[in-house]
Amino acid sequence: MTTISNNNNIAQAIYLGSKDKKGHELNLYAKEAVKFLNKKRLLSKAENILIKLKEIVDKEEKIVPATVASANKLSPHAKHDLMRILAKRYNAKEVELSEILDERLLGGLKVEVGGELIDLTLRNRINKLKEYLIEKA
Amino acid sequence: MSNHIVESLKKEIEGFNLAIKAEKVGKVIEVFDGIAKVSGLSDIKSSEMVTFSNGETGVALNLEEDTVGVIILGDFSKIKEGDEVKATGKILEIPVGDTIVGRVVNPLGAPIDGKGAISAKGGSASGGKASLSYYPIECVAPGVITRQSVSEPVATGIKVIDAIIPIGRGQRELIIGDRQTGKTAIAIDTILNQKSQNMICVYVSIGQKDSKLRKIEARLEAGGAMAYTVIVSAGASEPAPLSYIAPYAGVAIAEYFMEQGKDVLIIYDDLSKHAVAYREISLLLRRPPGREAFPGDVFYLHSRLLERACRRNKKYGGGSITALPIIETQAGDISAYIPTNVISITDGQIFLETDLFYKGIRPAVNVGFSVSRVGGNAQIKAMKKVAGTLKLDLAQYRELEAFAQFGSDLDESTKKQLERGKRAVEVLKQLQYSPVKTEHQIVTLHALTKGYMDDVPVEKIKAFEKGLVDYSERNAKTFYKEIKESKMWTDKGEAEIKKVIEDFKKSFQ
Repeated sequence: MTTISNNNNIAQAIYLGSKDKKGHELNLYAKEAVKFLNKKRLLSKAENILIKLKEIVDKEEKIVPATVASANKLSPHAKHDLMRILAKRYNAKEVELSEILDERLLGGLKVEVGGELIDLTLRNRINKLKEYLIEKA
Repeated sequence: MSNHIVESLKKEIEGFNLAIKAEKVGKVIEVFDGIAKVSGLSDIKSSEMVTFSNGETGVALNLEEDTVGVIILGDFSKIKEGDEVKATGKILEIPVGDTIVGRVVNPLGAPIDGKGAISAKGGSASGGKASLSYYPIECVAPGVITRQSVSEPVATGIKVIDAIIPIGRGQRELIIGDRQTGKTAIAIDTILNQKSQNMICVYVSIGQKDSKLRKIEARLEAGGAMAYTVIVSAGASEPAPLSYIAPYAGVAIAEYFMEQGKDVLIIYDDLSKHAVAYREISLLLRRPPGREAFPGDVFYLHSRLLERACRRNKKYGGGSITALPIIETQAGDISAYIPTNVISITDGQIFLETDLFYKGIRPAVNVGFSVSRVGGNAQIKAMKKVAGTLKLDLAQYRELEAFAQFGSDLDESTKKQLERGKRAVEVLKQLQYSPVKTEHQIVTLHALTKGYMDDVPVEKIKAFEKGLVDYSERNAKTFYKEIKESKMWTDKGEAEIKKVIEDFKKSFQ
């Protein structure tokens, strides 16, 4: 007997089933999907399946979620520029930007996109300089 | 003065150039017993080095669908859930350089002897231009084409080994025995005897007590052996991941010196503890346990390590790595999982026995169970000649000894063999930290096998041996010269040594 245990595969199946559906049809489909998960006792994994589903939808629709951390609030102009650059770098139609304020970064910003980190903060530069000087000594 | 400091700091900072790059990051999901489960890091390679936000290093071992199992090489108590983990894109490597000789380092190459940082040759005096090389701790063993068969001996200075179980440069010879039978003593004596033998030694201590390591270091220092020795230590109090990588770090250091065409001797003390450390890691990573709860790849764990011991041919730069792994058995059981594995991987074993040890036969080598599969080719001609029949003599002696206990009526030849055997055992006894030069071994064994010692009382054998060595060194100059130069004696040398032994016997009381 085969067992269904792979969150990724389940999410992929749910996505493929819902791809061309809209409105009422989509609601019905969602209900059926939940029933199926319940029947297969997979509701405990629902949170992880949803995360995977979001990843799949984002990938298919070229939406890139990005987190930007900075010491000070970004100006709308800077935010706009950043989104434009990220959209170009990750070949995305849309960039979902979530902002985090962190004074410990001292200055500059840190962008994280899908497990990739670009650290342009002052704190990182100081840490790197520290490592460099220790290594030199 | 302060101006000077500011100026030099300014100069250093000017040279600092931070390249902007995208790094792969993940987050710690859970941490336990030296293992971290990390999410993200989707593009990570197996055995890739990662760094935690508190500066500790880790190695990715288990690549699962959503998470990565990382072993933490250092203090894992400060790593917490949610910490950032950065992939480095590099396979774990350690810094090595000529200046590492004489130092005690941890498996990551950081000094732990309190003698300061290890800088490259010249260090800051050379304007910081020279730098340490980085060697990966895991690498593929040299291929068949680059190798050469073993033909040069490693002089251990231990009579029973050099005569009966000879070791060649590039060989892997296992030292196996119960606890407290003198396994480490053999290894340390061998290191001590490498003085002016053109050999770099690496002693890898795995899961040993720090007090024992300190004692060993002090002994090597006192014997002047630290001048050509590196100690890699993963102590008993350190987490299992460090013990797991220690032998690989040791062999990476050995490879650095072999690349320079040097001969290297590496000692793994001991691989039983290494296997136990790997078992711990594997079980924590939820890999399926097999026999004795060791994971299925425990054979590969040791075979890939010991395969890196080799002798390279001239075309590929020469140099060799001789490995002396140590295995501790439980109650003499050499058929347990790890001992049988390592016996099958190595080119022979030196088997030490508790019974012999307590009988006062030290080194407690069981000659019957010990073997050197390739070392015979490396033995010098002179030694081969004198030691040729010794193993057989000893084996026959052991057999006859058992028979002789039942009856007193023995024929003349049996008695003679028994007497010869007793003397052979006595000659092969040796105190710790007292290596014997090859030429002295040859003289002693020559006197033994030619029967010159047959009428010397057993209790006087040691005194006879010492006296003979001193006397012959003064009076058999041609013999010694021939052995040093051509590794064999001529008829002239033989006549001289014969006369010297006879003369000495006359004067010996």
